[in-house]
Amino acid sequence: MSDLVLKKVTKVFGNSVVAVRDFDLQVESGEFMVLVGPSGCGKSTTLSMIAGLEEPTSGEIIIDGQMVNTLPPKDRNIAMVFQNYALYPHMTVYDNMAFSLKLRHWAKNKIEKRVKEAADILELEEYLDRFPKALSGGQRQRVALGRAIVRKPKVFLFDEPLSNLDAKMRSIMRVELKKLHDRIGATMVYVTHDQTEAMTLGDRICVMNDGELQQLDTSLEIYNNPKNIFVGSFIGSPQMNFIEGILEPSVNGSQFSCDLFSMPLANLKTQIKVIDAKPVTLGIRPEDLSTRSKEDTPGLMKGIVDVIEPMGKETFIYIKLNNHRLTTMVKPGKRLKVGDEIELSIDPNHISVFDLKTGVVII
Amino acid sequence: MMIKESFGSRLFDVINILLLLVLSFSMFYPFLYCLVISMSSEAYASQGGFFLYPRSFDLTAYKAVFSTPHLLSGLLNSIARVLIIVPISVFFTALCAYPLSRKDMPHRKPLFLFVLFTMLFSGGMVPIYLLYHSIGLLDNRMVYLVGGLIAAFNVILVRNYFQNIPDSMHQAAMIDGATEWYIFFRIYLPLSRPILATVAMFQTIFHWNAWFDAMIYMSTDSKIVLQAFLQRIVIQQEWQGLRDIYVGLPPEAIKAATVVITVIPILFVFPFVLRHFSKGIMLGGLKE
Repeated sequence: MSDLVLKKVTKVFGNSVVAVRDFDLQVESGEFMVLVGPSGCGKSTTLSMIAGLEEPTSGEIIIDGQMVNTLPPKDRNIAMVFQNYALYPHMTVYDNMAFSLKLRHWAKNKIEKRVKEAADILELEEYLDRFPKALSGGQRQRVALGRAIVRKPKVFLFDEPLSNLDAKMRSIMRVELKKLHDRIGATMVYVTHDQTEAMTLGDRICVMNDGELQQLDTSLEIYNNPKNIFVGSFIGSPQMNFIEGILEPSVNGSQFSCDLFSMPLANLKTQIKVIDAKPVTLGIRPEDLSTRSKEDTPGLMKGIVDVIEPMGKETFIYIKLNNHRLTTMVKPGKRLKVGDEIELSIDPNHISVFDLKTGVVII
Repeated sequence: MMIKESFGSRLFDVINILLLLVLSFSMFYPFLYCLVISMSSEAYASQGGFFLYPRSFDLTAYKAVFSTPHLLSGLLNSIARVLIIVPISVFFTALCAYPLSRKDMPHRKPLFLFVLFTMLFSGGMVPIYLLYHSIGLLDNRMVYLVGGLIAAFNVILVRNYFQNIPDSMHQAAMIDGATEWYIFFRIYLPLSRPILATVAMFQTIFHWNAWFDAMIYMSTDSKIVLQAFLQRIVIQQEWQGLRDIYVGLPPEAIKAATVVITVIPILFVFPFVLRHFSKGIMLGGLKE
């Protein structure tokens, strides 16, 4: 059953700024859905509309089977965790967590029980009497989570909750969030621009750009089979390599040709029939660009090492080839220096081919 | 490790300190002068000059000023004016500033311009007098409240402060189930103590020092405030009667004693307000 459904939701600010356009989304009960996209893509606006902080211009928002477009935030059975925590600085951790329950006129002992339960889950018992200023960033974020979970809402909304934490704390909190989701099994909608968070946390990921849904799928499916150039370039770090060329018919079916190489696409698992030559963009992930090449390898290219980025367990190599710049990954032991000539080959089983004009995937 | 300061840097510090000392003294001296003169005998008081300490110790001027019938009523009126009107004024200032700080407030801009307009232009003394006359505020202590309830400048100060409170705090409270009134009273007001203390201090000083409204709108002597009494002593030379009783009491001493009596109470307000200034507000939240 779906806990949250968005049907053709559109938000227009003023008369002309379309923040979200015809957005459809269905979040299943207990699912961890991540909305990911660059700044200004409409993901936070979408979350605000779900929360009731923004009114949709058109479309329907349904939570737990009820249309909530006209309901105020407090009646939507949702809780939200904000990027800046939004804790009340003049209240203790206990009061922050109990705030919403007090407003709902719960009995004092019930409030205490619920707050202590949440504090236990989040390991906050010893901080209940402290004020937010006496907590670290990670602890504050846990309090913000606690404030959300005390109410046991139907849907949790997270608006870039880890953005204000340092890299180490971010990865710790990511794991804690994942564990929290597994433990309470709640429906969660999580907004982020960080693809690592999106990939690691989401049961499914919804990639957005310019207010529109680009692709909705599991993280691996999105990574391996992007539906368009935007998704291919946005998901993955370093980003996917793109080479413009021609997709044309050949004896074995089809082949890709560009100023660097020609490559038959006969062995592809998904094969298409090409009747006329058409301009396309070939997409290849850096890890699928091999530096160990034989002379007869299809898609063989020669380039010059431009930049080397050692990352520890792997090294990113940025290579110049004529007017192209490609990125590949090598093992740290590989001895390379800037200016070295390097041979690259493409694994035809791990490529994506996009229509040059529309950017939509063909293969 | 200590960083050794250059000669130029030390010279700069010395000059700065000297300038600040001179500035501080220039502000403190008039008050000291009044205090010294108010305690001086006729010979010293009428002699004039530069005084740093009283050459004689004579409290006759204070005795004389306190013996006047309207000093005490003026003092009580001033204290009541501050104690009653300042909290009401701060509350209404915040109440006016809150909706103007909300981005989702309909017609926020024209309403704000309307408030701003009142800061730049007033109706003029005669129309205001006629207005107060028509609504029965002449010789009525309510005129102190109505006339100084809200200052546009203070509204702008508080509005700007409210705008610095992250929107997410308001949104979180909305999701938690708080009403606008609840958010105003339980979130915004407690978080805005520094600016409310500032406005309270501005209003306290304004109401304590106000004398013009008492002079214009009040006809009963017992309803005037302390500063109006001071104005009568210093400007309108109403010390003549005291000279008849306290023969030989210099007018300078009477004026100085009155000034000291009117200044001392307000000096006690500042330390109480000061402690609110140093406290930051967004300690639980972060940048927007």
